[in-house]
Amino acid sequence: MTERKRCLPFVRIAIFGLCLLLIAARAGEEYELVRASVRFICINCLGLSG
Amino acid sequence: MMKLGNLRLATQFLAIIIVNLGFTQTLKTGALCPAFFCYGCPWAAFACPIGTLQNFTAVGMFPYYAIGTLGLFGLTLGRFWCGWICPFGTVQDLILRVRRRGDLLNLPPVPWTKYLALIAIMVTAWLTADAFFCKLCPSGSLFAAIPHRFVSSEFDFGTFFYVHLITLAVAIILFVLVGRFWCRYLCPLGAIFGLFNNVSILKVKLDMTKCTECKQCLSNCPVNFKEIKDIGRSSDCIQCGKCISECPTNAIYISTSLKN
Repeated sequence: MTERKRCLPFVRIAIFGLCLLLIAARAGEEYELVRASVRFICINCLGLSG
Repeated sequence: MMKLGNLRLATQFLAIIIVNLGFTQTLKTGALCPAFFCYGCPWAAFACPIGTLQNFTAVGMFPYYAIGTLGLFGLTLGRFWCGWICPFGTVQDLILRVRRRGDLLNLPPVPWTKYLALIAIMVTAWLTADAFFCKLCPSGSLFAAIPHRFVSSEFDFGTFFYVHLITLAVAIILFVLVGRFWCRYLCPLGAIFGLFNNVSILKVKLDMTKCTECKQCLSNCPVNFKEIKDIGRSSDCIQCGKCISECPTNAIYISTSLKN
């Protein structure tokens, strides 16, 4: 087994842990911000006016 | 058993339905879409990851939630999202099906252009304090600007609507000339997921002990790979699995191993 293959499970666990930490850090407030952006239609971005 | 190609097509169409489930305000979630799909679409249920990253960059906030979520998406499926889920990729696949020939323009693989696009998009968002790329985005043209023009009668044309039409027209011409042009050279989300192609849990793998290097697998590759070593590993590989169906010795397979 190559060195790279041996390290892969640990790399995956490290990425998984880091991602969970990032999500846990601000998930509540940022989720609501993102949700607001989905609900809001940016007519300026789409080139619409009205 | 369902053929892999048909299974992929079914998944792609199911994905189009799922990302468009936000037809009421309650169904519009704050979850990120693991594909390049505009959240300006009248029925969008999820947020565009690139639009979200731009919005956070524009207001000077670090996007913890978005980066964490994209990391999890990448870690689980890598660029499988591009080959099996992305509605913009589906559009390019449909154009390829109609064209029924190899690339009309033979372009070499250049994996770094999409990273340049990603950096340029974020720098522009920071400099203009606006999601500027959204004003040009061809996915936004197809899935949001044009549908809104017909669905929302209260809206009228603005300048950027015509810009959207031009970018979409240019994009479609490029898709006709070069298979999966957007995914190979420009997709900023593909750039992010491409980083995970070597570590993702689900991935297309090549068993070199079975491979005879006949290169039959490359004959139908939508991203026009010329080297066997790129299969499943290059950041350009969209993990569509077309090479699996082509391989006469069954040397290519979808790996779901957690260990390696």
